[in-house]
Amino acid sequence: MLLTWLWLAPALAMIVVWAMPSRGLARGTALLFSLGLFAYSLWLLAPYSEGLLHLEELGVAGPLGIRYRLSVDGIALSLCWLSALLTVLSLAASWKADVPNAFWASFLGLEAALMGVFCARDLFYFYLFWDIALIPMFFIIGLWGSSGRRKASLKFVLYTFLGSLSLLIGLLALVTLHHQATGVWTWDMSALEKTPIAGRAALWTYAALALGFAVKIPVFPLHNWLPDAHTEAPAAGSVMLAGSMLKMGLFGFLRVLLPVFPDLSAAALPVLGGLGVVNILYGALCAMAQSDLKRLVAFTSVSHLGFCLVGLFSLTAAGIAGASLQMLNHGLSTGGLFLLVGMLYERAHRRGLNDFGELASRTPIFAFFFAFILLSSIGLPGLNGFVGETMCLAGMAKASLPLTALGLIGTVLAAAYGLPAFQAVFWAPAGPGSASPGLADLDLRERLILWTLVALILWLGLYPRPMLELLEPAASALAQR
Amino acid sequence: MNALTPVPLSLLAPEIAVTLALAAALAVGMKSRPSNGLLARAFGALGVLAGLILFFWGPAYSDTWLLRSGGVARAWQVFFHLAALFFLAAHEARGERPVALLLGALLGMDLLAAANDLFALFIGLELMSLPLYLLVYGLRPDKRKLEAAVKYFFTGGAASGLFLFGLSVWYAETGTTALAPGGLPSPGTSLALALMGSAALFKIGAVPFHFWLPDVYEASEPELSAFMSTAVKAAGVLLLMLLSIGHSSFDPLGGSGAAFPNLGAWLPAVSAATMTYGNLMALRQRSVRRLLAFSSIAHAGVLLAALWVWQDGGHGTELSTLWFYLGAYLFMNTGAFLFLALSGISEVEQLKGYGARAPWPAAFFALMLFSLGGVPPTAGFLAKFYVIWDLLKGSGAWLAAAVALNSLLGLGYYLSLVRTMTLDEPGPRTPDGSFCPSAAAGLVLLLCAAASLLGFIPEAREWLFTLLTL
Repeated sequence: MLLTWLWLAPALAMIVVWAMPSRGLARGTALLFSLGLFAYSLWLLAPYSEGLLHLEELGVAGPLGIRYRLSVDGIALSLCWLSALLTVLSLAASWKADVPNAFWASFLGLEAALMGVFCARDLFYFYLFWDIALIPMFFIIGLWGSSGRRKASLKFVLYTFLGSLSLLIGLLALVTLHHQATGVWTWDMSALEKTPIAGRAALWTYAALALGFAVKIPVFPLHNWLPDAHTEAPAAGSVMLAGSMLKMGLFGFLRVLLPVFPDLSAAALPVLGGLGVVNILYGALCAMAQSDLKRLVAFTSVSHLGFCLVGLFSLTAAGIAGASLQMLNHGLSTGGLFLLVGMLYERAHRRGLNDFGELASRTPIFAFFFAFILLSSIGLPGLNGFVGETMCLAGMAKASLPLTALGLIGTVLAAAYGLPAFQAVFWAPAGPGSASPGLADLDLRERLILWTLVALILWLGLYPRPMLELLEPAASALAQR
Repeated sequence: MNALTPVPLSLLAPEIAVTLALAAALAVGMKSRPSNGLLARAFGALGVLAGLILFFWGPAYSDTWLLRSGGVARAWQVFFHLAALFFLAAHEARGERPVALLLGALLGMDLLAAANDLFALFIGLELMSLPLYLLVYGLRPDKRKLEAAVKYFFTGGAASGLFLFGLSVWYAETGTTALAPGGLPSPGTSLALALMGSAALFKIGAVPFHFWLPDVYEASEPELSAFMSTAVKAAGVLLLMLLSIGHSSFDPLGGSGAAFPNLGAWLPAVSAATMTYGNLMALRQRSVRRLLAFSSIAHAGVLLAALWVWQDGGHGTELSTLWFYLGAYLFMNTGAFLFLALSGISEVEQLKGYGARAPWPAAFFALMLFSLGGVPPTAGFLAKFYVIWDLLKGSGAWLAAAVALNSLLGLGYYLSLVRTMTLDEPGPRTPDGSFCPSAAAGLVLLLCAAASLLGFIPEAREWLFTLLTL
């Protein structure tokens, strides 16, 4: 039951919060629940280190071979932490929003689905949670987003549902091919990993699965839904979307494609690793061209996740561990940037790059946090982004030098989109129409939220060893296949 | 079995119960005072329920030259009785006539399911269709209903004619009307099957025999549309199934293999065309009823895909995919139409901001829509999941992709209904939140909601199979 609680508790909390008699009570309960769950997810390290978290099963597999199975490795556990943490921060950041119970409940529902995805060991339940996650996000964007929310919410769901369908077909094909090879119906990931399947059918299956995961990340030609979804979502929604939901795609690569199809994954390196590099460069270039802060952050997210893809498809222990670490980093720094932009938007109701100016002197605390988290996102040595990106590229260097070299350009481009943006908002003289005058600096609640992030960023940047020790066993197990 | 021995009356006990209820409903209606028809509905429900119980009371399986009972036939009959019960629970209009007519149609469906002979099949088909023409016309007809009923009557009559013509050709070719193996396919038998199959496609509302359907569903009372879209559609699928494989090849007691030459060579094409057409048309609708009508065409396409897999050789337990799909569809579509009946909404425009006015009914409708769209964890998802899986196991990978892409199209309009309901501000035409179902209708709503959440149980289909083949 240890892992079951990870998704069941927020699911139950969702109902409780929904049924609360007043908005204030709903808000408080939701935050309390999410804090509790975060503490619980931290505590899970104890049973994990004793090897107690490996498998949870219920019932027996029926004729379809589907069985409720949960299990985590270090990577999955770290993503559970991240989701729990970001839920807490998102809810805390939305504290002042006057929204109905459903808002708070949606976040808990989303958290439940994410936990389910990261813990599932049976592909059926993996898919079930995968798709359920869409529904709360649809309402989060659609109900509480900004002006273009109507269109963005539908686009988000339909686009990612296309990915889901491709994933569904891929999973069904995988299970069916496994049955043809072994005569056993099973949806158990660990059983599927043991029987490699090959041939044309395997290639199609791989393509269907990869397409399904790639839409979620999103990988370059399929990224079209992301900027709109991010721009229109409320700040807390963007945090969850970027911080946790996009990781589902990478996690799918890591949990399904790499272990089940090691040979095909090695063969796919030029394609998928190459697309990762395209993501890095394309995302960075697009970010340079943005005049809307939130859209800019959305494109940096595309760029950062490219590093993860590069790390994963290096198929080396260092690369995979780096990619997993980079998933966490991205959750912290991009999540943090979305929070900051949200705080700014809450005050000024604008978020254009040129709508501000002189914020460094007017709101120094805000400027400090923005600079710090931006630098972490850019990959300044000493902060978390640097460690992750370096490991991803180092892993890739063993597999393909040209791709590594191209990826390196991305680290330079990061400075080229990040620093001018900072300059425009914080240092440039405030023009006549500027929203800067009269903006209040961060209050204690907001500072607490950001200090949490800063502390984690520093920890992962200066002393990533403990985290890497958690991630590496899982990564090297994957790399050895 | 081939000798024309009399069919034992005990076999017909469920049908007799329904007939008695029909007579009771008519008798109640003979008194001069106008009534609200409640008594007739009660008699009707009693008869349908009694029939339902008697299905399980009788012999597990029996087979005569004209009719059979138990086994697979019973599974279909249970389905029809459930649909009829839902109609009776939801139908609030005055008068006894609709109850009697519905019971008549139900008798036809029961007979259709039990038929062991093409003539029995035809009688069942007619007995089902004739009352429906009148039901569409309704108690208080207006121009639209009149148009729909006439349209339905003429096209339905043509379909019956096609069936009868096909039957004659079949008899001329083979010298028998038994629903049994017909020997080698010849041009004559192929023509006969094509003609009879067209009649089935007509009842299903599959392309290219779909054109009557949107008008009829839009004009009828929503609960009748629910009945038509579930029970009548199922009857069409059943007819097509009987024509293409007969009872025996998958009856739990075994049988003699394929009854007729392969009718299903063109089934995948019809299936793909039907779902694509239904979804594309549904995308453009402004009337929710019409939208659901087109969505039912789309679902009919998926049903045909499920039928095709079934008759493509069957894969053991997957026999029940079609049943599960029909069962899930029964609940979700009845729920959706019932929502329309109770909320008084018929245009998309009226849905605007309905979620703010009446959160619970709106949540219910959204659940039905998600289920129709096949989003986990709903029963609709599971149904689609089984169909795609079965198609992939067989030789239908391209059809599986078509089903998947179509479910994306479908989600497009289901979700935009949810969006209109929740994201938009209430408009001038949005009804107030009054939504007060009778106890019976409320029970149906609860059942629909509960059944639509079945998606959490991946083995639900196997349970259903066990249940129906007890």
